[in-house]
Amino acid sequence: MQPEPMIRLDAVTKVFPGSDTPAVGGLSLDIAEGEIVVLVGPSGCGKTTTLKMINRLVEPTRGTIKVDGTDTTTMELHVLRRSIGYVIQQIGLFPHRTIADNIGTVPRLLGWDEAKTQARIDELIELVDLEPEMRDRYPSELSGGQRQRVGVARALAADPPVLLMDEPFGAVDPIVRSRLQDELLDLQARVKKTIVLVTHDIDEAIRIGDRVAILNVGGVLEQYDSPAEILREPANDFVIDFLGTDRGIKRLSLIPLSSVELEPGPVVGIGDTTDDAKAAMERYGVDWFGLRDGDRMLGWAWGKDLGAALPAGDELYDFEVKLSATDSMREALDTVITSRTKVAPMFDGDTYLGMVTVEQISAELVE
Amino acid sequence: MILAQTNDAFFRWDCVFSHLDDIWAKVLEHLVLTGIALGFGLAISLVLAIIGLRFPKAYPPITWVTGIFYTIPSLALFAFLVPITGFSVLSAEIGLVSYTLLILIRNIVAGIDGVDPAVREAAIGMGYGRRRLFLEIELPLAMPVIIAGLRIAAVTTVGLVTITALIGQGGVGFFILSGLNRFFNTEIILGTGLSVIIAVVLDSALVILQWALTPWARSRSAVV
Amino acid sequence: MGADPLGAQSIGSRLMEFLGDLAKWFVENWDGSGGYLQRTWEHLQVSGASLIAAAVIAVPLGAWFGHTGRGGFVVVSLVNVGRALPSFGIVALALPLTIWLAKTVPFISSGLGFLPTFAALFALALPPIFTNTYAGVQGVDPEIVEAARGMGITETQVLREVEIPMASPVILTGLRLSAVAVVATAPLGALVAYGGLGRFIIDGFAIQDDVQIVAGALLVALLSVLTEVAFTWSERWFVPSPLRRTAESKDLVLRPVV
Repeated sequence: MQPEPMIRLDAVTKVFPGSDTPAVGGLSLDIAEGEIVVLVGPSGCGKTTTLKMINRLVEPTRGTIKVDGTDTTTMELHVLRRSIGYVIQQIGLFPHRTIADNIGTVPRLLGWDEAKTQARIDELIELVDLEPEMRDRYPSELSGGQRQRVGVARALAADPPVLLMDEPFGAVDPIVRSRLQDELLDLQARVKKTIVLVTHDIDEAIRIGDRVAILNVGGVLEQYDSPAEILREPANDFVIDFLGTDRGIKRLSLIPLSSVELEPGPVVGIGDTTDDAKAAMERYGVDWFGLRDGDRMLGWAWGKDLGAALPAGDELYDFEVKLSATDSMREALDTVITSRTKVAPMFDGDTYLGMVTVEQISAELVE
Repeated sequence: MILAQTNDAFFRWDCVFSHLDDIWAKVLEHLVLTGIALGFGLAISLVLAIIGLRFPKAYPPITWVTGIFYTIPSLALFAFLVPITGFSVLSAEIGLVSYTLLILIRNIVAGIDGVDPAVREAAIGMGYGRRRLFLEIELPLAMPVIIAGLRIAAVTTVGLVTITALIGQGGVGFFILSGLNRFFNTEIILGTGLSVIIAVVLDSALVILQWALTPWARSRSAVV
Repeated sequence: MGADPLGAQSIGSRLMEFLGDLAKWFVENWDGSGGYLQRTWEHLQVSGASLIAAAVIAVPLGAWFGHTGRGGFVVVSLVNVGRALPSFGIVALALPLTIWLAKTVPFISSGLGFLPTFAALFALALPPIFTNTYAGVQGVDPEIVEAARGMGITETQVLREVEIPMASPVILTGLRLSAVAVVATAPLGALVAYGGLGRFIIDGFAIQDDVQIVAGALLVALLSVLTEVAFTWSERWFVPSPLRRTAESKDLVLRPVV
């Protein structure tokens, strides 16, 4: 028997006054406990409206929403909202309160005793990787990324089971955004909340969603599945369009290099002969070879420059990009295409582990 | 009428120093009149502003009515009141309070409206109820704008109090009126000068109040 | 049972009686040297004179400062000082000044009446016109000004043909604010022996004649409102249509009327 979903939307409809067409028309969606579901779609698809109906910032015109089994319309507004974490794009930190007081907002609204609140604040500051000195600062003194973290901490303060996030990383630059996405995934690994996140960025959805709901204008659910599945088998033309023309490459980004079986490649050791080098090049059908000293990769050289003996260290070229286990096949493809050697070498620190070839990459996509 | 006094010694300090008690009494009277007007004005304005914010349709009539009071010359307003409430503190206060309303209501509403919508949305989304939202979030954040309005209201009220000398009150306006009737420069200058000083002191006090009430606006160093 | 528990009946009838007296006053007192037509004319005379004099000085000055961009500090100080100085004080201070003037300058016959009233109202009218003109000219989009310069026209032409027309809504606002302030403060002229509508109020206070007091107040209020309306309408004439503002413009309000 399937466990009750944490959030269940049942034929939820929203028609705004003065409008003929519904912003969201009869959407049904189940969100399981502990998963990150990303609502994504073009503007006008009602993703934000849907999100806001969960905590009733927007009241559904028809249909029901159940959170943890309870119909949200039967709950008092404030009670409902205090039991759900809410993070918005501009964060909305209270400028007149310190970071600590911002984080402690919902616990105080719920009437927690002061000691418990303070302990929780400290706990959260650590959880989102902020320095303890930040406690007594004001939001105006923090950077954008820091404010984002405070926003998340504030949403988690009362330990709500559900977290709603509306384009939470939209207002920061791409580098910070990528880092914040990583931090969210990290956080989720620790706290396991049910998260509903809205974004317009399909790459973000693919990156952080356990399941992705692709919505069309009017709240029409086009496909609802894991990112890998959606990329592998898009449900219709709309989804194909929305995923973009580089769908294959997007799929690659979901495959970590750690899961790939590596080839040793045309690499010889310093104790080997020039014939070994030629044999290695022939076996792989390439015109270059790599030289290693034990597990340490010294570099590579062109076959045509091979003289009487194997080249010395300073005659070798360095591999420009060295990938690690945390990189994905997408980075491997990029490296393969842009390097002279046409392979993506993988390292663990200084230790050479093997390489990924372009044949392996396309094999992943075709299966 | 001693015309000779009008062009001899410009300012008679000796007269001032010999009457310090009277002067102080008038200054106090001035402060009391101003204080009462600002106090009632603020209270009434808060109520009307809250009504205007809750029921946006009510806002234009409210500004319209208070605007009319603002346009009526103060002397005329006090004159309208005299037949009803006589040459009394009440007449003075009714008039003075009316003048504070427009500027205070406008500033309170502007201050509350000016609160960052993201802050308001975050607060409501987190589960703030109407009342606590207003008291804990909106009002504190609107403080700078409200106090700016209070400063203007305070300074104008101090000036208007002088006119109430014509209906028997006046604070330091008493000296202006008396000096005018007796052709005594010193009194005129004294009255005017004191009015300006009181206005400046009050304005500064409010600036300090604002500084005290808004600690978050002090530490303006954004760490990048 | 008491038919009139709150005495509303007697208040009502007293009110009717008062209104009757008021109407009678208006009927009886329109003519003569002390009649309200004459007084209104006196009121308008001193108001108009001081407003025009102030405009003649403050508009060019404000425009020049606004154009060159200097003197911002002066503007801010003027606003603050202007607000703190009580109008009553200004009128009262004008008197010894004009009396001294009358003594020293031969062709000025009296230091009372028109002169001090005019002087005080002139001083009152200057700041709003100056600061608004300054702000208006200074606030013209610098790109437009630069484009104009780029077309090769002289500085004065830039001022005259570009900045001032573009600043006209704000300048007119300044004139309106001054006009209303002047019309509203002119009643205080009665304290320095001038006529005007203030005469009814001040004299009424003296003899405790409620009817005269209210009549005077009504006329002053009416004139003040009419001035406000007249200036708001005149926007239609003087301001090029794309620039017209609605009533809710951002006034640089310096003082309420009187």
